[in-house]
Amino acid sequence: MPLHIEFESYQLKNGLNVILHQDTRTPIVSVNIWYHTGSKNEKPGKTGYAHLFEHMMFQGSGHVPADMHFQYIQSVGGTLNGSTFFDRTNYFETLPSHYLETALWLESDRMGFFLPALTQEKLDTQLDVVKNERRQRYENQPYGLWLEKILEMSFEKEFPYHWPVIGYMEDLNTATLNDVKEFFETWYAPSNASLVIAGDFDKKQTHKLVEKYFGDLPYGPAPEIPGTIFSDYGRGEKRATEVDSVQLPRIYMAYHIPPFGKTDTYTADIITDILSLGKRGRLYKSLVYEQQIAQEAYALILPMQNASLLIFMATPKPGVKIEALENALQEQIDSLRTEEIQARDLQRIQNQLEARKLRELQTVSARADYLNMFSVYFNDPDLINTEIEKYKAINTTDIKRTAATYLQNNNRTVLTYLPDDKEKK
Amino acid sequence: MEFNRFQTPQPGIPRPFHFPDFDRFYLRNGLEVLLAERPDFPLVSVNLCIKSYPLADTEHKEGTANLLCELFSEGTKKRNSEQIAEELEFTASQFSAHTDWNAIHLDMNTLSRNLDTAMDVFSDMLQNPIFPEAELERIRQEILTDRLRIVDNPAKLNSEQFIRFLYHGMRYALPIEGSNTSIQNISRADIQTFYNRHLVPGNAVLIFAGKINRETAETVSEKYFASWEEGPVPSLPDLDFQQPQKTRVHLIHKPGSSQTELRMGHLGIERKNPDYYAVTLLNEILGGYFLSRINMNLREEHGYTYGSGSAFSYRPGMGPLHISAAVQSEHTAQAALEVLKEISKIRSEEISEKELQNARGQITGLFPIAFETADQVALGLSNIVLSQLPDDYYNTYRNKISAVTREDILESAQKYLHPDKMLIVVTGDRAIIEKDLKDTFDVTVYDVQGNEI
Repeated sequence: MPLHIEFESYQLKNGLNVILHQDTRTPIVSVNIWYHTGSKNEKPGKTGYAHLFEHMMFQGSGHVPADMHFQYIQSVGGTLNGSTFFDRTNYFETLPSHYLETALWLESDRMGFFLPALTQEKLDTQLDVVKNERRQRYENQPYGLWLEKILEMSFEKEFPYHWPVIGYMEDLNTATLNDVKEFFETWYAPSNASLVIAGDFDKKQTHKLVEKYFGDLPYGPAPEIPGTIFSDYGRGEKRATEVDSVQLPRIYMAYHIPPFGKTDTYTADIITDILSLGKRGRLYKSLVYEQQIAQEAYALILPMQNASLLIFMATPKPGVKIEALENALQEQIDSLRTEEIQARDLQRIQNQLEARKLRELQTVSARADYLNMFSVYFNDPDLINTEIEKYKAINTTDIKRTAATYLQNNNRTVLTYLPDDKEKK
Repeated sequence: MEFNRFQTPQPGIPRPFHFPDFDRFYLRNGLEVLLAERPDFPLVSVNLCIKSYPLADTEHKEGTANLLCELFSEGTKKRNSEQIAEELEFTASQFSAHTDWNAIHLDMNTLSRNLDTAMDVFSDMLQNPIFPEAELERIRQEILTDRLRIVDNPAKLNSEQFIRFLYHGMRYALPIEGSNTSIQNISRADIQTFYNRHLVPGNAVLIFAGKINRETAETVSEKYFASWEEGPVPSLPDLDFQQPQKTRVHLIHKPGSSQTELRMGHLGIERKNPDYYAVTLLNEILGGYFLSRINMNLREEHGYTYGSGSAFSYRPGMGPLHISAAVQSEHTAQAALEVLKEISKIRSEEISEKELQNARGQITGLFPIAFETADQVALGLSNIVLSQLPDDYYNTYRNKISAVTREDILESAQKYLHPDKMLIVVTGDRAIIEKDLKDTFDVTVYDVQGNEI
């Protein structure tokens, strides 16, 4: 079954990394660019700028009029978007393959000629849009600020994961044109970017097109990525309680685990599957199905380059005390630390992981994004093919050891939400 | 390399793309089977659609179809809930059963090498469910708890209230899950009755897409579905629809909201309406994609919102036209007025040729991206069956979209958009939004439970 994704990878003289993956089954092509910068490159007091910057990248560039970026792509049947994370920012479009050159023209123009098109008016509008994004996706959602609170408690003030990607409202209120300009100049050099083209294209011609559009963009030295090392494992438990306009309480627990890509982090990923993959996941089976004390319960990892988090979430059923649910959740965590899991359970999870990988890689856009992720984070795009071996190498002893190492009370942050009664009055 | 970057690149030569050919055959019990072979990945998508839906729920027992779906995987004559989960998950099969307003869907995606094992479980769930009382009670409580929490989520709450006002007095007015009262009224016998009446092979279609050939599809269908007992094909009720009388605002007061959820609309069109293609383009230009007038106005010009959109959706009878946005509270009334302005404008002047080209290009050009995976192809086939479309639907679709003219779109806008009958539902904090809204509209205020206050 192993799926093998073929690709070639090279660098332009200005340092732009290029990866080509050809697949001519469907006449579409995905162009995907990762810039190795995200919210971790912001400073306290100027949070949310990486993401705000991403919005500005859709507002036209030196040779592309405002509002035309979307139009060139959507009007030919393409899809496009961008996203910002702690460690990176990506931009991507998939379109009928005969429009590949249009996509390369647009991406190269905003990589090389972003500043001439920047105006205060565009910034003002996008600031309003981003503030509304913050309201819609976080402030006006039940428990919507949970991750923000977890990050603030889990990482010290100066540590670059202390603040949320979307940024704080008060910082957005003070963002200036100069901040945006500075962000571009610091982080958007070709040498800090990686371009993947995946899908239906002619290799020889595409080499030429990449050189034509990106080759003469000026070289800028790749910025120093501050290698902030996280050393606070086991720094003691932190707890907090929040009140929100919700019907039921909820508990979040976040444990510090190693950076994305480390063996223990892959093991932690398997641990989250043991706990929450399908109806055989232990949290569902025990808390939701057998004891019927939780409405939902799951675990996930938030993989980041300097330190990751393994996060639990559980919501009690009406009438169940949050303390009782926490105790039941704790029992599940303890059993991972003290007992090895059954070989058959691990086999089931490995089977699902392998199938999940296959399902994820069905589209050229997903393959493009994975190639870039492995290239930008680990300088090894072939991990798209080999990462599965890292999962397969994990055995039941590794799981117990990793759980015993990291799932300790002194290595976690606990956030409890309680309902606010105001609404019912 | 010297060249003019102001010059938009010329496209290359397009490569044709067609919706995949598909096969059809029938079992002796009347089950229709469709198959599209897509051998690129070792995965098979299996969709079984039952052409019944929550409109068939008995009065006061709304939510029966939904509960039935929840119970397929909770016990059969041969397997209990945990055995079903273990067999599906060990073979890395993804299964879900759910109902929308058009059909009941049992969907599975499995590895082609595990197809036989997975189909054994699948057909057992379909043909031998026993609806254990204990599982029913557990799931009933889960659904009731989810219903309790709707008020936490302003977007969901507002959409539900919009639908409630639009379809007042009809089954559609209630969520698919039913109401708190109706959910409690449903007994195991009610679920069994619904099952006996609707889950018959003549009322179903089985769809395979992926790494599976005709021979395997026939063998598997015969092996696992030939024993499915025939029964009379049920008929579903005819419906009467009424447009809202006049434009007015229903304000759901949710104190402390940091934004306003806005929904606007009225009844749309029937799926079989010959103006379907013109309406598809009309919607695209009004609010269907990023370049649409509503998005460019509310987001890119005014910055009132992060996201907005419009959709005509389809269900038996008349589906809704549904315009939605999450807007900054202070600009709630202004945002609603801007939407009305866009609707009046698109009804009074022809759209530009450029707008038509852009929207047409988006809809027709998106075609290959929309059918890249086996799951997407299976979904396309179910659309053909459930919307009663001809087999060549996807082969003629792009031509029919391309044949729509600016005049057609103006005519459709005048026929199907009614700015004077616009149902406007907002969920937000009345302290911030009520006054502005009252300056322009008739406003009624409700609490989050939908009671007038």
